Amino acid sequence: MAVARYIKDEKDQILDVIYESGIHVKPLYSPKDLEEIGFDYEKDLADPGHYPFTRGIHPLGYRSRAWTTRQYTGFGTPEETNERFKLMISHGQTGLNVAFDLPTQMGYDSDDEMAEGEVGRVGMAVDTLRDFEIAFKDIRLDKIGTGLTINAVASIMLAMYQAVAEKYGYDPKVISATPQNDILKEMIGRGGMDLPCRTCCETYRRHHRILHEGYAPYKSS
Amino acid sequence: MSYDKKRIKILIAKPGLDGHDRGAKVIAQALKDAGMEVIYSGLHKTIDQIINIAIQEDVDFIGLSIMTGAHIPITEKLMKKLKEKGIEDKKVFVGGVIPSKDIPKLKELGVEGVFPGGTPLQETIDYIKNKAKTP
Repeated sequence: MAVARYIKDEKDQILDVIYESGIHVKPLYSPKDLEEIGFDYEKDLADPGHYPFTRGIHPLGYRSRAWTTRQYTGFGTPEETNERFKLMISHGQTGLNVAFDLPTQMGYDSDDEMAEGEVGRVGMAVDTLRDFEIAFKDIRLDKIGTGLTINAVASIMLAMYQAVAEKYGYDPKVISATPQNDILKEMIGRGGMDLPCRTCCETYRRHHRILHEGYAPYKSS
Repeated sequence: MSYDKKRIKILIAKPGLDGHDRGAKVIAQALKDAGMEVIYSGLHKTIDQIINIAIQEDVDFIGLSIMTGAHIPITEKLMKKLKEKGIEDKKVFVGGVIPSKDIPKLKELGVEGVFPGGTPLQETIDYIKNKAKTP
């Protein structure tokens, strides 16, 4: 299927390009076009780090701080996962990205019939808060941000993360967690339920509440 | 339509918690295009549900699509239940993310057709057509 339709004149010059969504895009733009639409630098583009954030949310982008490196990590028991987390951090990772097993992702206990053969298989198994305590033991939660790659039960996992941070004595203001919490991935992509979660911005200032995933919706067209 | 030859009837099933259904749907379409009748179970089915569908639809083959790494315990359970229900005449094949070291184990369980990702569709079709001829 064609993504765009090209309107050409008799000399084969492109006059107009119409995208699938019906948007017209000219083959070439110049400063004259900006004049025509009444372009205002401060309002329409602005410096990086300023509204409307067209050029990113940080004034100096990745020059002021490198991007976080966090490889999708987690398997088997919380003990094994904790060991792996520490290995990844010792190799220079600046964040964590937790892989949960399918029973955990779908909200089943490890001893449920549906979980048979899948416990700890594609990620770590979490049934109780104790599992989270073990997984994050001796990890500096004030220095390391954590991605929780989980959707349907993201609210429970986020609450567990917060409870563990509190238990280990961290100020809620300094911990950072990003649940995937992505309805497109969970419901459209893989047929699960999504129960979106919200967090308190005042208390958990460094949390990001959603992380959209491009892979699963694409894979399931 | 001629009735002298029975159409091969196949159940393509997604057992367990796996949410990846692209492969199953591609296989279902390919088998349908090859002239077979295909029933797709939908996601997240238990072994009991799969057995029930197989009995109610009276299929000749059950194809399991598994991407989670749980292919051995799941297949083992299915084979056991087939015997319990007395329908071990239904032939089972497995596709998905299947490491080559596990293929002999699956064959030991009684699965003759194992088709990991990357298998040409024609290979699966040929297997089923040949297998359908043998009782």
